[in-house]
Amino acid sequence: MSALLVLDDLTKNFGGLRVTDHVSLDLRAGEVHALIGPNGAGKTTLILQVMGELAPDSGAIFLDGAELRSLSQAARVKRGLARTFQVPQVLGEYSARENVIAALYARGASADEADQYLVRAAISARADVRVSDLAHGERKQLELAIALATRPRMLLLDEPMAGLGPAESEQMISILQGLRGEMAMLLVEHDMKAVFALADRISVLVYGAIIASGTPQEIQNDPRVREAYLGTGED
Amino acid sequence: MRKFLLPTLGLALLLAWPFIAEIIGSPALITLFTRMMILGLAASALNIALGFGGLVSLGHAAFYGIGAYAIGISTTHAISGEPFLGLVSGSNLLFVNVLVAMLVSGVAAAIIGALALRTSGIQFIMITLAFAQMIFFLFLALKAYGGDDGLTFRRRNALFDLNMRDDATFFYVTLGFLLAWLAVCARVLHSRFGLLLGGIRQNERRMQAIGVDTFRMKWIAFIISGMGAGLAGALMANLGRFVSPDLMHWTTSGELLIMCVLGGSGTIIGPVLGAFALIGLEATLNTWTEHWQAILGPLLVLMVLAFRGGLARIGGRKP
Repeated sequence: MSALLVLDDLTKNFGGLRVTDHVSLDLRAGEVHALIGPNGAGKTTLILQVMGELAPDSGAIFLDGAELRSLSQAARVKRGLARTFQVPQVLGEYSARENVIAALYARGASADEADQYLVRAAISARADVRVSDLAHGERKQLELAIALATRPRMLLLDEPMAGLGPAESEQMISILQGLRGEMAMLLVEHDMKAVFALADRISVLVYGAIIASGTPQEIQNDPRVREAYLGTGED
Repeated sequence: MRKFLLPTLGLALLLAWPFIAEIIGSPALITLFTRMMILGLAASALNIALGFGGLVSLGHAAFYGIGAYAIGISTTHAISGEPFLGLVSGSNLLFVNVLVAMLVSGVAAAIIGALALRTSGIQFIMITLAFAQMIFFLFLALKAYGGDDGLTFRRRNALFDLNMRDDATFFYVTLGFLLAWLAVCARVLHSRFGLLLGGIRQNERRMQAIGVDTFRMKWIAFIISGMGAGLAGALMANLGRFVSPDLMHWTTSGELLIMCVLGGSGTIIGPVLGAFALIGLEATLNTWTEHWQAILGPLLVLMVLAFRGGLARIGGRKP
């Protein structure tokens, strides 16, 4: 598979703190690539840089071979990047359907397409409910529907399981399984059950640096990862 | 049906108002209501930025005043026969002057908006206020057009063969402009642009994440809003046949904000209701006591607390 999104030697500092430390990653078309690491490792900061919300100090980001540095967030979305947020960012005064319609209007599409994305995210039964009345898990699903409505080629998922109960997590895993192959996904997640259920490849980020990349099996058996993040299983 | 009942009754009352005012022997009420409608239009223009886009501008009096001065300057040159800057002749035609007023206000809003919209929150409020005060002092120093004395012109602009000297005729002309403007507002609110603008007001980060160029959308809203304020200024200049820098004093911007909040920002008809309530209260209290502002202030606070969401949302309605 060819690389769709390439992060090339990205570095970002906040004052004296290096939050992204020479990160290089290849994300292939159609694959699910999980990015794991302890809190504060710089996972969300990496998403912010890819989306253009934060400029890297050095390094480059390529989508399908085109450098993104000079592009606004809106231009990046039009090229096929989309993201979800750890804390759902939704439009509380609108219905769930109107939230998806906003994403459709943003790319010049018709509102008629909204239902198909609500169905994909299993939230169609709540389509006409005002979003401020939706539960946390439903907002997470709605966020996914909104992201899908932008027709992404590369979907950046920032902790989609955060705050979900076991049943909701199962449902989210099942929804994401249903999207497999349609788009590439970068899955930032702490829920290891979800990571190992979904990921084709995993990279581990610790203190802003990638310490390991590989298949789920390779990562599980990597002693550096076990030491830094997954644990040894010994007390 | 109920949704349309009150607006229909309100419109019927306005249509009959010049006759009612004559019957009760208070023709001055025609001019008072014309003023209310014009300020309602100005507040409604601010509402595009404030209520639809979440942009708290404390500088809309600048666009209102620029619209008024466009009329004053154009009319003065039309009467004197001297071209403006030796290049363009003035006009005494209302439609021409209104278009010029909206265009000039729109350009001013485009320039100020392009700079002010790079900030948000309290900075945005302060920078719009600063620009408006700059323009206020600019016109205060503009001796060629009256300086702080303002600019008086003899007659209202002409519209077809209507007798524009007649206050009742001008009342209906103003009503026509108000209704046309409210139709524009309704069109904006219910368009794709309106949905996206409402989204920006609720959560700008979300809208950026779906690929909306939020700066551009807010800028367009700010320009439309400025043009509406310019239209209101043009009508106010015609009402009194007088323009002065006072029109663009920051207190005028404050009054427009109060009208929006009082009537219900984000609704179509709310700012107009707010203008009628505020100017009506001012006019009534003014006849009772010279210390009317001491009563008006607490009364406004009580009204805002009692009618959360504004007069237009009483009973859960959102016209």
